[in-house]
Amino acid sequence: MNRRVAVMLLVLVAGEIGVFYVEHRDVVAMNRSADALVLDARFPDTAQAVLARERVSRRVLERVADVARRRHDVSLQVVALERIVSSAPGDTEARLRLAQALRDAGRLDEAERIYREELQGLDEGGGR
Amino acid sequence: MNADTTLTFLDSPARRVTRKVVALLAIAIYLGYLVYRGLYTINQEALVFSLTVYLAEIHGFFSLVFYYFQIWELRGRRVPPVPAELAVDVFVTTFNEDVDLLRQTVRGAINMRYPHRTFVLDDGRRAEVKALCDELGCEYLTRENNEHAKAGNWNNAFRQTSGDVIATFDADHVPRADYLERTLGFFADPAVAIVQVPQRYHNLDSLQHRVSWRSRRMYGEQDVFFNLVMPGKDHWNAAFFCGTGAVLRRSALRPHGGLLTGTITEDMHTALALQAEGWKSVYLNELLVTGLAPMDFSSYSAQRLRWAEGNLKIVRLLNPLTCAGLSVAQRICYFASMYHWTIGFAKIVFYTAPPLILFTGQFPIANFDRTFLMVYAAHLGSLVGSYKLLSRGTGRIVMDEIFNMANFYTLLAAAKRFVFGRRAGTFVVTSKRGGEGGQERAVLPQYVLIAMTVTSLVWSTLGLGFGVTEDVVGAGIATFWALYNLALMLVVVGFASRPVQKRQSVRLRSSVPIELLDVPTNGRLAVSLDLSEGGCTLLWPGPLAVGRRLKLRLHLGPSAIECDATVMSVHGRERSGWIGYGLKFEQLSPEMVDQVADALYNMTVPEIFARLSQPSWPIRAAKALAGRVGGSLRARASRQDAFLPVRVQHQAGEFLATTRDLSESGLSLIAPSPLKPGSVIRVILRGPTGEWSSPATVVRVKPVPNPVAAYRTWHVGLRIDGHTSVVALRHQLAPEVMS
Repeated sequence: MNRRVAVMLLVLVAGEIGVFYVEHRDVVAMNRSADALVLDARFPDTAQAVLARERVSRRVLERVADVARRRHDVSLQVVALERIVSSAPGDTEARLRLAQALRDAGRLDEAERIYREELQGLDEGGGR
Repeated sequence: MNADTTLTFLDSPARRVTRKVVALLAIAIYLGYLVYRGLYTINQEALVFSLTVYLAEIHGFFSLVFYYFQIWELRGRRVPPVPAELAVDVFVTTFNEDVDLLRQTVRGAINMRYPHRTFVLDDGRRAEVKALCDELGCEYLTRENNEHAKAGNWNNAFRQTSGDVIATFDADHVPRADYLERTLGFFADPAVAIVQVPQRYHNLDSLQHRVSWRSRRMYGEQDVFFNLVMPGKDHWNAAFFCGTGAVLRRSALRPHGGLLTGTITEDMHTALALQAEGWKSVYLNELLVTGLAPMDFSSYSAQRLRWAEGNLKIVRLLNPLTCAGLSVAQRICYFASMYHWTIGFAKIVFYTAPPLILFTGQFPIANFDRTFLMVYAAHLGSLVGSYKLLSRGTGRIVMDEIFNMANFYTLLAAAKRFVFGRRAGTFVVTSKRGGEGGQERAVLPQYVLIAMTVTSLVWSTLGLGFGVTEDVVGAGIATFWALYNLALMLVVVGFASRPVQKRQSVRLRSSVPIELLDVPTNGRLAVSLDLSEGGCTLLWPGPLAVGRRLKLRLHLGPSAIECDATVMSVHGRERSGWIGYGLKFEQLSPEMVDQVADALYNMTVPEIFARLSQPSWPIRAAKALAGRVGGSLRARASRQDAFLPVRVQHQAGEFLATTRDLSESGLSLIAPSPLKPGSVIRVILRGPTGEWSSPATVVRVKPVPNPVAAYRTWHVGLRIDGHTSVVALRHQLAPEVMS
């Protein structure tokens, strides 16, 4: 491969990285430290954009939930945790965190339902 | 005589049965895999993508079935006695090839021993070709136009000649002296219309060759076709005319006026028509003709485009599946040859699938679980294993994949022309010189694939890194697939970056002794590394300035020529201690050029092909082990390739030769005259660090098969008395000239 082609390929990749950034700016932003995001005034909008995506990794959702909790933005935290639970329905820890967030948001019925389901699961599982 | 009685089996009965069982098993496993894929793994969420990949796999299944069908039985041929009175015409077709190139082909044609008339069919209407024919004493035929290209040119000569059979050669395909003697005997069967021999190429630095001198192995892209498919087709009486290196019966062609002209691949078209009329074909897998393969990628692609387009278009004119007169096996064989050219469709799917997966995150396979992996592993294992076994060391999967990558776009272009047509199917003469422009453009499709693949890998990595996606396993599999394809693409792109071939003639690996006549007598012996009609690479231990004029004596087997040469370049010191110099011969007379060419075609080419026909290392290891277990515990001393000039003094005089190998107990050399076994001679070897002399006993003398008496040589094995001196010699001379 000659140098001209290699340079063209590098330019292409650089452009691609730019496109990726524009396309996934919100997700990329969530890779900043949690402390920085807590102080970021644009966090709610960025988090909404992330949560509106059909595909996003659990790591990013966890970051949204964590930062939302630290910013006392319970409704955002609930949405993030709901996404996590929907992608991992058997994850007890995530469900309990969701129940806690629902309770904090005043959605007691929903929180209670989750707690009951988990307790029921414990009973059926022989008190695991 | 019935030509069918000349057919022989190449494998033992046990091996034949084993290979058939393996073939059937592999086909059954592939079929089972396809059924499983169809039932359980079609991804409904990416249905079009999933089905496309599935169809590509089905294409592969039929490719495998056709391939295994064609090589179901490999057949050789017993050569029948040559008939006494057969009128033979020899056609050498040319359009714009160099006269120097044509000269050796015409000389080869004229020098064939069986009585014949040689005609040069010049569609270029060139005065210099006419002069060449006058000089060499053959007949010159031309015409006023170029209608129907090569086939039209051929038919023009067909109308003006009257031989019972016609041997036909392209301008760069040089026949051996015994070509007609080996092929004409089959025409004693009145039903035989075609005798085809393989097309071998002696320019081993061509695009389609990969050579390992160290392991003495060679890969040629067409080896599978000429070593497996054609002997397999011969079993089904479906071997076809390949355009050059064939003998055709005039009476079979007469009703057609010669070759059929409806396509740009008149060879297969004509063969198909003749076989549909009930004529037989014969394939004789012997090295009787060698030619030139394309040197650069654009010439290679142009040749493949012509073959693919022409062969596909035959379906429209004479569909082997529906035309009358063919057996079922012949229909399958001919259809398989056409189907082969559609592989571009499957390949483009496999090349673009990984980028699509990496960009979109969608997979063509649903339920990618342990069960699928087990089914896939069984399928892949049986595919690779059976291919290796049935290809008998000829088919190499990675090399085949590289050339599939090289050809995919060309084949798609041919398929497009087949479906949508074009203005006219013009015949493009394949350039064999190389060094033509447009190499980068020729690999543009591969560059596009590289760009797609690299950007998809970057996109996927960014996605995983920033948390857009978390499918590490899926991305990992697609990445592995993409990297494999990327490696193939880079190799193909490397084809276009090969150094431009500037030489006028092909240099062949040839170690001949050379005397430098204008240096002091003591130690003026050198050796060539390669040789052509225009020059050589000289291995010489001392310094020689670029531009220096040398007086040389080249020892070409039994003959020698003296000429001047100019040092054109210094290649640097070899690992063996020699220094390589590029020499250009100066003002060689036509007779000397012919003498060098004769030595190359009659001695060097056969030796190269014999030398590079070693089996693969597992087979070599198995044979060595079997030899040990079988009782021959005393293995011969390990031999090392060594191409050193040697002066041999024997009772009747002396000659110069080059060694072929050294061991701790002796050496072997190619001698221009036979030596008496048991006789004691003196050998004086020249190495990069000096001369070494010793008495030696002749222990083995074996003639090297050669149809030309003037170039007959002998492979001589010598035992050196005093092992320690030979060990010292090996260390001193570091004989790795050919490595």
